[in-house]
Amino acid sequence: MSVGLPGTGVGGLFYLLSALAMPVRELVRAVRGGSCAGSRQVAARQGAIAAGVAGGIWVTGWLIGLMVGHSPVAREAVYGVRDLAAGSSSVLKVASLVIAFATLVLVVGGVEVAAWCKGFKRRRRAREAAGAAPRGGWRVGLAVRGPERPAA
Amino acid sequence: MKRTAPITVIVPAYNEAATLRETLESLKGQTVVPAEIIVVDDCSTDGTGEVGRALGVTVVRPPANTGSKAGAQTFALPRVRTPLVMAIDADTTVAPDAVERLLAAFEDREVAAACGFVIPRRVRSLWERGRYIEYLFAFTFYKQVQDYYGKPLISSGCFSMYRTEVLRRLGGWSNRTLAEDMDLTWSLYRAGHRVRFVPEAVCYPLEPRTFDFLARQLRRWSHGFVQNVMLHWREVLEIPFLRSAVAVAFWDALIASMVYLFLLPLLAVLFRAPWLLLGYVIDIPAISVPVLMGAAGRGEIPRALVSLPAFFVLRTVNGAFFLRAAWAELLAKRPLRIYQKGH
Repeated sequence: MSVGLPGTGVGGLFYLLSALAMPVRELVRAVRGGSCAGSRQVAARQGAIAAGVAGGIWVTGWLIGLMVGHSPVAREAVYGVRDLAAGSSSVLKVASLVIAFATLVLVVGGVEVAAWCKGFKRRRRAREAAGAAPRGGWRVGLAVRGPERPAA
Repeated sequence: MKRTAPITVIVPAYNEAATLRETLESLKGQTVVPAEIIVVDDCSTDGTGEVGRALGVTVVRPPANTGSKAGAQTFALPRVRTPLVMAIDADTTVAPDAVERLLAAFEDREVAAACGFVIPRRVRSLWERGRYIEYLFAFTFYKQVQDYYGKPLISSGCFSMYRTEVLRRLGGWSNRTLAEDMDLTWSLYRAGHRVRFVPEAVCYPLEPRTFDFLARQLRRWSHGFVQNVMLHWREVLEIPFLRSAVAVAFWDALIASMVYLFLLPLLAVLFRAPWLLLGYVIDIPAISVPVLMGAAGRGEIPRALVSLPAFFVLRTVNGAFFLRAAWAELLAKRPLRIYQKGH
């Protein structure tokens, strides 16, 4: 089975960035002595595909810019007023990129924060189960703790 | 003399007499021969069992229809005597070296499952063409990235190999969701095992030719995805990369579907700008790169170019099915439980 809608939205951007990071990651692994020929080959191939995809996205942006810049109907549809046409294509491209990256950061960042919270709760429960003094925040800690005793 | 490999192949089959022969012949023609092939004739009425017996494989028949592929596969699991077990759909053939390629992944003791590259065997109708491009894109690009980071999203149910002992410990293939392959893959990660994607191991399933068949398949896949997210989200949160991959897949399936089905047509009407409908195919240059690279490796560039437009139709239809599934499972609390055929 396949999942979701391949090629669209933040998923595309996520895989693009992940693939672009592969050659860099492989380089770091090679320096540390943890790289092998197989993974280097995969990283290089996927890096090349990602570069091609990035080129494809650039072509898309260029086409949009061309369309918006040369079509009064398109300009009006995007900006509402004809006077804002100058420089419209670059505004559109930058806005699209910013929105896409911001959404990706929101989605992936949100999941990472949720994972961190879950891990924090689990660690706290484990500490409590192991018999460590429960921590209810530093204020409570200060209230119940007395002054440090001098070592015997 | 071919080497016999310590693998048992399970072929779940319900009324698959028309396609089973090719599947079994492709298994028998492998560069390494599986120790045993078991066809689970799930109370078929079309002579599926006879096809298996005529080709000299073991045929077992449960007392009553198990109701799902997962049920049929799990029925055969107690009979497996080899350390590795492979599941393959009865309408799927494999490249002659596919089993040998998958087998190599198990040299790593931590690997509990491995899957291969999926390419539709027949590419004629609109839906088959769309699926052909979808698979070329996903298996050339997404899945290889997932494997590099150690977390293929799914070990595809149509053709995967597993460690028998691990599979038994997990209770076999579960039918608690409609996507047993995703459920099993995520359960394997949760248990600390590794899953590999082996792109050199190629299989060829028959994909839906008609909309009716496609609709049943997409319905099951969409509901299965939502059900698995609901079932596993807590554990998935603890697995790096997988959590991000699942989150972006879910986000896109939800948001992009709404854009395709509502936002784009609405904006086109509001602004009286039909050119906005180009949004449906706006990523064609980006999609084309992995697709054409994958197709070039297979010598199929003309086929890929002709099939490319069908992908965008399939993607929009896919969006409709996903939104419906998300609505039914998450909001209306009407989960789909009846398994309908389609790999």
